[in-house]
Amino acid sequence: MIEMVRRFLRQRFSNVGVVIALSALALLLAPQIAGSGGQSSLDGVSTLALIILAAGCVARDASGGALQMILCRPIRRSDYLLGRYLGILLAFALFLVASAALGIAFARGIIPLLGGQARPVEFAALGAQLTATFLGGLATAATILLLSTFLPGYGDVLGFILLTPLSALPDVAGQVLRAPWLQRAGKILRENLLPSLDWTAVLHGRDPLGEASGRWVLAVVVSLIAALVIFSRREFAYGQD
Amino acid sequence: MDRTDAALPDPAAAPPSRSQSQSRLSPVLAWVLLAAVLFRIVTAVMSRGTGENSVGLVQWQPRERAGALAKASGKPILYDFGAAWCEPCKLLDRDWADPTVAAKVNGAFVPTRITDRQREDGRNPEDVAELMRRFEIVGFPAVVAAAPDGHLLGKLEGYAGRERLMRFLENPTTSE
Repeated sequence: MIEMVRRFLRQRFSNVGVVIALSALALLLAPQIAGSGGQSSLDGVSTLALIILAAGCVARDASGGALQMILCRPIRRSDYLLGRYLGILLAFALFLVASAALGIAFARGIIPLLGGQARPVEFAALGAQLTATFLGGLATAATILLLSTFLPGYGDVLGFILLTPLSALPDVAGQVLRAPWLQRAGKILRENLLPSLDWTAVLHGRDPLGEASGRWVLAVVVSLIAALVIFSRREFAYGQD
Repeated sequence: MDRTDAALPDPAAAPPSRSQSQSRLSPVLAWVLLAAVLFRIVTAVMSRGTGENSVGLVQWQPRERAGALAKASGKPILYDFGAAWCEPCKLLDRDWADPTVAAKVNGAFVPTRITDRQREDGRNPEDVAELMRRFEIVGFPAVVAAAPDGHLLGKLEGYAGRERLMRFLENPTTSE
């Protein structure tokens, strides 16, 4: 599995487009970190980085024929898939650490050099934000991995983006049709399909065993197991996908 | 992770039996799934009745108790009016998770959350409707500071960012 993780990191970080995109996002995050002293949430930009890292994580290998070559070797499909997942997470962690280092460099070097005054970076707060962002990324990565096991090309990213409006449809329909039961069903669907968990609060000990935690854990586990099941059942044809 | 893998058939060691390995969930995965489902059920049961009081780091009080707590402590009540469908309310919820904001709220106020159910249920509970009439709540989010006797000290309507919220919490009587 370690070989699969290495392979994923090599693939991603040898792609010039990905490196440029991640560098640009890190440059967007750095002033945000410097300006808030490490207190601000890193969610928006970092989610974009995670999507870039995870895009087509399985499907691109399958369409390029590399997956078929890998699976010719005595390697378990679960090793390959979990290697991709861990690879995404490791690459995401590297991105966050690099962004934080850049943010600190901004606060201590670049902003004073330009004559500005940055808030001192609070390392505890920054560490909590980085950890919260990383943990939040576990669910996003699991969802994209699941979609990548059966959607071709970058369909996983498109599917992930469409999940939000699609999961809101029953709720909207319930409002239009004035059907409270449909709205409730839509809310339950949305909360369980795309659960959100305030990791910053959880890391501060606020309600770690709350319902949101249960929803989140179940969604991640179900996504990963579904990805394993789908991936282990798929037949990969040579030269086509 | 290794335990998960160990539960799956080793193609090098065992004769291939694809139909068996691909059609059934490995026992370890099934146990992991069961554990996650049980955790989900336990957290749902534990959180019953505390839904709207578990946002951010603020120690929200049930609205029924807020008045009595405010009178006992002499602190003003901080009402957070919101609704499930309100997107800006979610931005405000993130501020409630900010340690600085939460420390200010927990130290200086008796905080309580009021969730509008007009759209979902067609009407609000009578006490919620009365609060909304009294404080003339016409949009969400709305943060209201009220003295322990219930009279309005200040109101912050809409989401205007963390800094504006902090200014309001420092001095609610100068609200816009």
